[in-house]
Amino acid sequence: MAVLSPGLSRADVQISITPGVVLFPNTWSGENKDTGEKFSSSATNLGINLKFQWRDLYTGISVAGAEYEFNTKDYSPARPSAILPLKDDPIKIKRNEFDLLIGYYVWDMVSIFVDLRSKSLKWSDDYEITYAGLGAGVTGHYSFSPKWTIFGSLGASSLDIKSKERGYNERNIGDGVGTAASFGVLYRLTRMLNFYSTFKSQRQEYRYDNNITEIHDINGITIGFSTVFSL
Amino acid sequence: MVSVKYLILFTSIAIFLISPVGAASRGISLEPIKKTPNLDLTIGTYRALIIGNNKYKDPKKRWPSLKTAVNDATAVAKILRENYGFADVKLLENATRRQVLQAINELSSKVGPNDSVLLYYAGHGYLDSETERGYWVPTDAVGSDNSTFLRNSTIRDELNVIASRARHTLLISDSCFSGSLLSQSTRSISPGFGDDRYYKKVASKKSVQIVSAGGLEFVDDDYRSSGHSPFTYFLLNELKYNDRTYLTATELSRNVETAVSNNVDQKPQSGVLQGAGDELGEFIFIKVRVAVDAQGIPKDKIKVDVRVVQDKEPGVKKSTPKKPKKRPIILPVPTL
Repeated sequence: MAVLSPGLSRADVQISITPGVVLFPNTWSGENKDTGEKFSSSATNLGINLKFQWRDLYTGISVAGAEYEFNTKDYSPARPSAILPLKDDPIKIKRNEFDLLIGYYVWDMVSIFVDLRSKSLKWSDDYEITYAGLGAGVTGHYSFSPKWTIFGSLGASSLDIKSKERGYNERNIGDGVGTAASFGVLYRLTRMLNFYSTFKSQRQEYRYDNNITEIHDINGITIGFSTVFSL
Repeated sequence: MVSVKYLILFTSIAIFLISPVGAASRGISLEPIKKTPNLDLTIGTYRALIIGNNKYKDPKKRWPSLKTAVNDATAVAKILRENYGFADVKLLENATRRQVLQAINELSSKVGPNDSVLLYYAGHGYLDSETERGYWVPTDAVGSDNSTFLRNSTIRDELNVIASRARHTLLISDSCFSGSLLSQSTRSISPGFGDDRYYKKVASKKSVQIVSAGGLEFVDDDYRSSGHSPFTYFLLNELKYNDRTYLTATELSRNVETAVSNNVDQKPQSGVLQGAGDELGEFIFIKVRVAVDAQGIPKDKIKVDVRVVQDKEPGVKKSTPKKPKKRPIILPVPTL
């Protein structure tokens, strides 16, 4: 896997851009709090990670997606619709995530960011739920040698939940809140090339208008290479 | 709603982080408050990487161990730290090629726009007479295999990177054939030398200077059993007995060159790193403590106090409003 990440040049105007691809096997598990039914699945995500930095400001885009498979004998996530299949065949859900960030380094090693994010769960062409909203977070990193850097982030988001169902208008069906924490380590192979690994844990709590409350836990490890160039 | 509470919480954290930290100054200025009380100099951090190589491990016995290089380096590090206010001094003893390059990279990554950076090397040097290429010889050098040496062009490249980030860069090389590091360009002391306007002018202009122990000749190791090479002996002497608050690299090198060539068959040289953006500025040594006075006045009576002030304090001019650049860390996009 290759991630092309941003870097900071020492030029007065620091501009860099990071295109890339990320692979990360995620586990997605959760619970319907009202019934106690649990669900779980795992899949490998594919994504693109772009970052652009100018002095202390940065912006980034992250797009990732995967197809998860759930056995209908267990409960599957976010299924408030009556039209979804209830047969025993496995249910495949395409989960796509999009994040648009704006961040600012308040210290050399600490930044804060705002994340405009959107996530969609698509059962089929007939049914799709989107979770969209705004989040904020803090990042930090520390280099304990020229080669090794540890980094992490912490944040939360507030999301509105909408459904797109065949035969119905798009409608708001609930809201939710998510928290996320990540921790990683980066090893500088050369001035231009780095290797990194990140563990990220997300917890999302959704409350649907039909009084269903769900908790989703999504955990994944990312490994990748990053390279940097400046404009 | 729970979600609104979370947003308010994180917005508060963000505001809290921005307010005090964003306003804080990251640089430190050394402001002499005696002798030249009205002289405004914009000064970043003084940094130094000091390398001294005594113990050579050459299996082919081409490079014998030296007597004084580590002692030279230790003494230089000490006087810079204690008498000239260098805040970041790294002393590297008996360094391998890899350790030298790593230390230079580490130094390079820390340098800010107003910093003054000094690189000192004491150890064996080598000149390939056929190609006229010069080298530093690290302690893991093997015989005459120059791929295990540090080529001058590599050193110049690394210096170039540091120079592109720092205000003032000075390389002092005490090794055989270190003159091969220099370009032909030289500099002289400008009219007005010694007055406040002169120091203000040269402090604000970029400098990339090199002082070498010799030209293309061998240099001695132990000068009169002093425990120092002749070059570093007189370098330390100048730094130690300097009784002025400000001492430019050109003035220092000129005095050292004269003293060395008056006493041994060796001609130190100085100049600039060609193409590295030297603007005829000067690396300025600021004496924070006059160790010995020529008139015999006790040391503690002639101490020059230096107080640390924030960049934004009145009286200290900022030549540029930019904050020091961050380390070139490359991190993935954080997402929620």
